[in-house]
Amino acid sequence: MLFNSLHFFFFFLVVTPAFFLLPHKHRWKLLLAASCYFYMTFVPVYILILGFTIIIDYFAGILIERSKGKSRKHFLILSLVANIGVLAVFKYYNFLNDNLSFLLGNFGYQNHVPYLNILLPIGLSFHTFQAMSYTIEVYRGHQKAEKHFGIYSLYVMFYPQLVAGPIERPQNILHQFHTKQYFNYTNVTEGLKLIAWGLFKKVVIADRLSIYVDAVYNNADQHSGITLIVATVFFAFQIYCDFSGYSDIAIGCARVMGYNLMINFRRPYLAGSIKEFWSRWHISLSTWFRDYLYFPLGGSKVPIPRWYLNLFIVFMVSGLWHGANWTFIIWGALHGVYQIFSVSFKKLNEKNILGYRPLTNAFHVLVTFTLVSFAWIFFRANNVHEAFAICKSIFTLKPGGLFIGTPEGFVYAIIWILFLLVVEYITEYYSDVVKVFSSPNRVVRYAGYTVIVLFIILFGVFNGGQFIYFQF
Amino acid sequence: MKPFYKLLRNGLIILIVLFVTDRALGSLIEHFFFNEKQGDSAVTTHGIMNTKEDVLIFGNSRASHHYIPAVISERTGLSCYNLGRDGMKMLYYETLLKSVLSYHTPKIIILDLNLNDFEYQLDEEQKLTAVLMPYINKNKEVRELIYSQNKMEFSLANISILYRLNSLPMPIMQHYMGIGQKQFNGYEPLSGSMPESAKVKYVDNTNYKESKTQLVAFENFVNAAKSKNIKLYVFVSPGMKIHKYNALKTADKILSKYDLTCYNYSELFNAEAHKLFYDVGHLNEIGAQAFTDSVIVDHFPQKYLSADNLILFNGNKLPLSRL
Repeated sequence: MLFNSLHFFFFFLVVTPAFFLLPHKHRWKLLLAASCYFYMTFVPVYILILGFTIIIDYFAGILIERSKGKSRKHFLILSLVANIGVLAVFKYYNFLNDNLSFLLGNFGYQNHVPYLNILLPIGLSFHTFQAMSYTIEVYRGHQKAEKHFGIYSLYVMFYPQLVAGPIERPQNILHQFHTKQYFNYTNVTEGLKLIAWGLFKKVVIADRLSIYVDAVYNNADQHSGITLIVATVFFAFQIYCDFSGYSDIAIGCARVMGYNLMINFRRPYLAGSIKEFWSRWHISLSTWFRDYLYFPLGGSKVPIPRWYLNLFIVFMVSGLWHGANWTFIIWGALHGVYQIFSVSFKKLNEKNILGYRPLTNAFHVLVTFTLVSFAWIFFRANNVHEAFAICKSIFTLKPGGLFIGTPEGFVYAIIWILFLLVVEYITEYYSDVVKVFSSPNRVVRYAGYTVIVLFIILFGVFNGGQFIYFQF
Repeated sequence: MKPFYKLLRNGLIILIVLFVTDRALGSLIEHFFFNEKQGDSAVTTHGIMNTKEDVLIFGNSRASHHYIPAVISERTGLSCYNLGRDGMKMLYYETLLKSVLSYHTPKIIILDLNLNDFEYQLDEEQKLTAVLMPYINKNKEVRELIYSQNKMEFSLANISILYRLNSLPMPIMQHYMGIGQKQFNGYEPLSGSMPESAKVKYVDNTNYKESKTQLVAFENFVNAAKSKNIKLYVFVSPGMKIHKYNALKTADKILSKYDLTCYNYSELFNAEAHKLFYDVGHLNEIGAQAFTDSVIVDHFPQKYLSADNLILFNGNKLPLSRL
């Protein structure tokens, strides 16, 4: 069930009022049942995998808390092995097997390890990481083990963030399920506004851009350098609106019921450095890697070469987290290299190289956006060979005109990108544009609501476009 | 006031504001839409609401670029309109024909069969619904088709005028003001030709899968024309892209039931063919003129061909086979 489908609209219309109508002690049952239904609308049988990791982690949490000494660690390892094992089988097995075949092939051997004919469970990486953060936090003593099996299951399965995050921490969300949520006008309206804004970003901007991006990237060899540059820039905005739109809808849905999920995006394309970009992009994942991988590796409190290696490892793993494909690994590695350069030349970055601070800042934003967009080529390309061919076409400015596709589609795409940039700029430097919808002047407020809904109806692309991050 | 009732009251106000705005703005945009001077939608609007011509041409972009109504009219004295529309398939032609027949009976119909007209396409129904949505309240055939394809879309389109016009405001303004795309009774000329090095492209489409919906639509199309005693011609117009698996055999099989034949012009090439093509799939205006002229001379009943109104290609009768 996609957030941008009528199916979800009706699901939300049923679940939310039912949530408030039920007494607090029964609400977890409703949310859990709704979350199971939500997940099972994709591939029903995969709920068994979720059930398996939920059972393991639930008991692991309790046993970690009750145990002392080495056995605590053993139970944590058991939980991590179970979670990573599921990821390894469903997400990485065939990829590893592919690479093994390639490697053996180079030495003249044949790989007889069979391939698995399985579909990747939707949002597997998200809920696996959320589950792992629970046992790690219990092990670290930051979180008490959850004794209520239903509530723990809900922590992993809470439908708004089940398939594409934000990847929550137990300290933030678990206690909220125990707290009675009252019908709160502000929560409901703020939540609905976030949903509308997220939907706008998804169906009006991301899905519009995807038409052009798909047309170009699926026939990349036939397009000119300039077309590939435009498509890459469009993809940068497409993936941002697609994913941040999803996060906004998720946060909004939870907010309506009184639950606060963590913010996942803070205008990443206004970042002045790669380091800053990662503090604004997919925040729940980047902080996950920071807390559970980067710090345990030693973070920055190690000799400089080791620090750089830590950064590189974290981004490589982040790339691999996104998908079992070399394109994602290269994308992660590129960001790792960017980070190393970013911290190496920190002082240079801080200098006012253009003599006028706003101009220097704008220059930094532009450079960061260019680097990030370049890395997106590897993220979007269908394979590594194609990604390098696209890079070649771009750097050699392969001759040919600019592909427009449908003229109106192209113009809409540019208009919506500019609109988004204006909104992001105002939000960053002046005030939150979504707060326009909270203006004390009722006419302004209602005009705001009307315009956004009408824009969605009139300019939205309703082709049932999947969210890009579902595949992870 | 209790927060729930406040939400209910404000929600209701917003719904009313939305409804009123939708009606007002929607009606205004709809007015421009139904009065477009040119463009794909103008052609569909003509077919669904305003057709009165003797000869009608159905098909996709190849039809709209390959048959010149002016040539047909001048050669035969019959009025003609080209209802070809880019990216469409059989189900669209069928719905459009039934819409036309609900208020007008033409004398002759030309159906330009595309070699992949029967091929199954994942989003074919969705695309068709989007194209026909603005006419949901204008024509019974369209209404029934959208209802049968997607009941949810049908309901939404009935509630919101703006939803029917989704993504259309810009092309509507463009075509209302007559900017860009130029059409002459539905015919859209293409200028320019392929390079001399251009070769025929053979496509080995081994994944070819026929759509049952499109096949039924084809048979319904033929049946609808025959039941009104309309002279129906089915042509496959020239192209420099040949699909290994295509609609020809199936079309012939269906047409033979109605004593009809599909005339295949798709593989008539010689060394000079590139001069007649704009791209591998479409004739340029010179090619279109030659082709239109050929099909009239080769197939139209003699009674419609008068020596007085012959206009010849480059001063000669020039069947395509000689080019």
